[in-house]
Amino acid sequence: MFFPKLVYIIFVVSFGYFITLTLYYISLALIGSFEEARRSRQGEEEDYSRFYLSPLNMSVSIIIPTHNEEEWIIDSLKSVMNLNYPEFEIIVVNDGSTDKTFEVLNDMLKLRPIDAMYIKHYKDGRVRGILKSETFPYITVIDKDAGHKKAGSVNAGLNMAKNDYICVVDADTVLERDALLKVMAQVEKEPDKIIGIGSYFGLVNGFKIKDGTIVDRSFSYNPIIAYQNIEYIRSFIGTRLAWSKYNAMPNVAGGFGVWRRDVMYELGGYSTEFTCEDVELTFRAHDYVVKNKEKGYKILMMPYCSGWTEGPSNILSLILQRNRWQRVIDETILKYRYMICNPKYGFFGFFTMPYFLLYEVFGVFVEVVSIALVAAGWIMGFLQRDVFFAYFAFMLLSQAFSSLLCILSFIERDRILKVRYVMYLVMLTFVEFFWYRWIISLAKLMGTFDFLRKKRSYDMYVRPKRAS
Amino acid sequence: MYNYHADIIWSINAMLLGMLIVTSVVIFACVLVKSHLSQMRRLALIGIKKNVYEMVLASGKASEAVCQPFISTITPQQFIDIATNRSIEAAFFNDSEQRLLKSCFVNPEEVARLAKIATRSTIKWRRIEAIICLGYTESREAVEILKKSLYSKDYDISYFSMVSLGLIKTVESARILIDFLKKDLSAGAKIISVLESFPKEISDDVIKLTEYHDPVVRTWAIRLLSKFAVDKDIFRIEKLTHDGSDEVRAAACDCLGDLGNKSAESVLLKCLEDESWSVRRQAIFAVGKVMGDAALPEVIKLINDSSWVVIDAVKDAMVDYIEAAIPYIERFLVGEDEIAKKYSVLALEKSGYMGKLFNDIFSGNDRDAAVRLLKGVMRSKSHAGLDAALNNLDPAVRAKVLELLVNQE
Repeated sequence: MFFPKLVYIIFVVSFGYFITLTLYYISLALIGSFEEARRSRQGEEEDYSRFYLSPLNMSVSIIIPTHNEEEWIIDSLKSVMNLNYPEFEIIVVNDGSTDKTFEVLNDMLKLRPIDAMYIKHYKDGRVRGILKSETFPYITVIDKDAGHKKAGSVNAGLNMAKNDYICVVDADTVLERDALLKVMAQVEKEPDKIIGIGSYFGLVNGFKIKDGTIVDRSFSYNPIIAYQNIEYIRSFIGTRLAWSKYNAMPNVAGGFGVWRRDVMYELGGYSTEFTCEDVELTFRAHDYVVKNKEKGYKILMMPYCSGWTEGPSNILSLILQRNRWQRVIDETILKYRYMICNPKYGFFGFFTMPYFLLYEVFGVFVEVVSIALVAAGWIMGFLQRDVFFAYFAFMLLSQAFSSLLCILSFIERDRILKVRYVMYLVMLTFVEFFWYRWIISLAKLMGTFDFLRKKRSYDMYVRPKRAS
Repeated sequence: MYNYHADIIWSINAMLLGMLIVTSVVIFACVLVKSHLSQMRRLALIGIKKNVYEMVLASGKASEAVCQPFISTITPQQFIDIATNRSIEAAFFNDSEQRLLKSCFVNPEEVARLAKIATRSTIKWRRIEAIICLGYTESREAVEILKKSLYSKDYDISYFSMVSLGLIKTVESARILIDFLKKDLSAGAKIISVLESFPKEISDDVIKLTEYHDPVVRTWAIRLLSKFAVDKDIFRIEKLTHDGSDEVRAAACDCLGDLGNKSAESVLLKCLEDESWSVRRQAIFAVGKVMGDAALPEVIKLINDSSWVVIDAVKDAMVDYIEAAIPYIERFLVGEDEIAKKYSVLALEKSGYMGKLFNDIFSGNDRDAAVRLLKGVMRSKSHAGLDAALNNLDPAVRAKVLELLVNQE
């Protein structure tokens, strides 16, 4: 009689778990939707020309860490150079690339070595040389040995950065021209409070890019890419905007994020001990300000389309990427476990942390174990076929519904997606549960086991060659 | 057999399925409606553009007869589209067209219409659009309404009232903004950036702000003063170089430098000895602006400063006045101070003086001095190679220079 009882208990617990999760998602999607509408409207009514012309505006150091990005670095760099922002410097960090990244940079920038002052305040690894562009004097290239992951590269850039704000841009990200302007106009409203800020970015796969400018926005119909587009919308619009409203943002994404330099200095830069750097830094920033009793600080997420990054286009690459994401979440939650339901951390401690623990860390186990046991129970005759299908249908429908709410919120403001593509995404949400979700679950399981095996490497998936 | 209550789960599923279908339909409708509305908005703007274009061609002035036929039909949203060209993909309005439309709006009836929306509309963003439009009318009535809405509990209404007041560049609106700044310091950065485009008449109010108890406000006021202050204000700013806050002192130095008044020389020279590195750094820039290369002997003394930021500023001063800095650089290059050597070479490279040295060597004009300096650079071991400077030379010149250098050595 033990097994039927076990199946029953697991069934009740997991059903309760999924009901709670669905309600949590629906609440976040609704809050995020209102927040998205408000922020988008703020951006629409803002007169950016005044900000652009102001000599009192805030200067930004843009850091682009790059490792074997010969295919992308020029477009990414050009998109940053094309930014519609009055005052910024660019620091490209070549992190021991073994391909032609350095050569293509040199061809474009006409680099020459300089003997600049370089103080190692942040942990970065061995710097081989510092070079300045002859053609674009505001661009500096730091050439360094590999070995301290992306965090070490960004830290090297931080060591050279001069401006009050730090913007980190991935080397495979193409920015929209007004990305920085829109985000910094928000910072200008409360510069003493906003310590970190990010904005929505999607997947560039399928787009045509010329000289750092997107000339054709055709979203990829490859289902692996399309599902990631849904996930990005779900993540940025569905959850992060709502968390941001209550200052409970867990992640200023590494693809495009701005931090106040004085805060970065106090934090000691990015940690090279973790698999990835962005989630951990955001957690540490929350921790730092709470421990230092800095009231009223904000870490924000904006809904503006700031840029586009390349996503994995096949299942193996996707698993590798999600494995890495899972590891960093496990590492971060383990380190900052004292924040969970800790009243000192406010909404972050009560809304975000429990979600991360229950869904991001243990969710995959609940999902897999419950489905397996319920299926086993049905096969062994402990529960009716009717119950199994009801349970299965509930999981499918609840996920599809929360996805659709986020898509609705996204298209309500942004007119980037064409009608046909929106319909395609809607259709995909209904079948996500049959295959894509299980690929992600597999990647999460592998990530968790790798985490337990203490694997901390920053695995890059192999990118396909770009069509010229 | 345990009771799994499948019927309850199926009920929940039915509810979810219903919501899913409704959401899918709403998404589909939303995409279509949005696309249609955006097309309508575009067409409306194109229509306005056509009318205004014809009017500008016909008269170019905003008389009642010209404005009457269409002005009352323009919504606040369309007015902002036109005034800021934010829907540029639909229609671009040039300066004369924008001026004509704005002057059409400056009449009591229009202001009253906007005021009614700004104060009574139940739709928040319609109110905000009317608030922004009121700023463009620059009328006295608008100032009164904006003053009230500035203190609204709604953040967005308050914020856009502030921006809108910034469009009305009068002493009265500046005072309202300054009063608001004193009550809500978090809005300070925005208010200062709004005020900087105001005319000089507001300088007296800004001067008073430099005496405010909060150092952050004092710093902002000084930053603004560099745009507004006149000679009579100099002594007040000089006094602020003794302020208790280093941020205020640094801002005061910056302001004195921007004003460029010679009477500030002695005060700025004293600031070079300030205990805070940020003040010393700002004083280096300011003293250069006021005294030019005559400041170099005093500035150079900071080459051994404890802060590398200050040393970097000294290097920048050497770059700005490289001719005057050469005697110091020659001395540093043969000395023992490695930091001074390093920054001397950087100054030579950044100022482009290396190229001049090579040209002097080639032309024979002052060749000995050029060779001496170049040798100093090479022996200092603080340079990262001469390739860049040599590569900029004409190949024939480069060959000759290299030959001469080898022979000299």
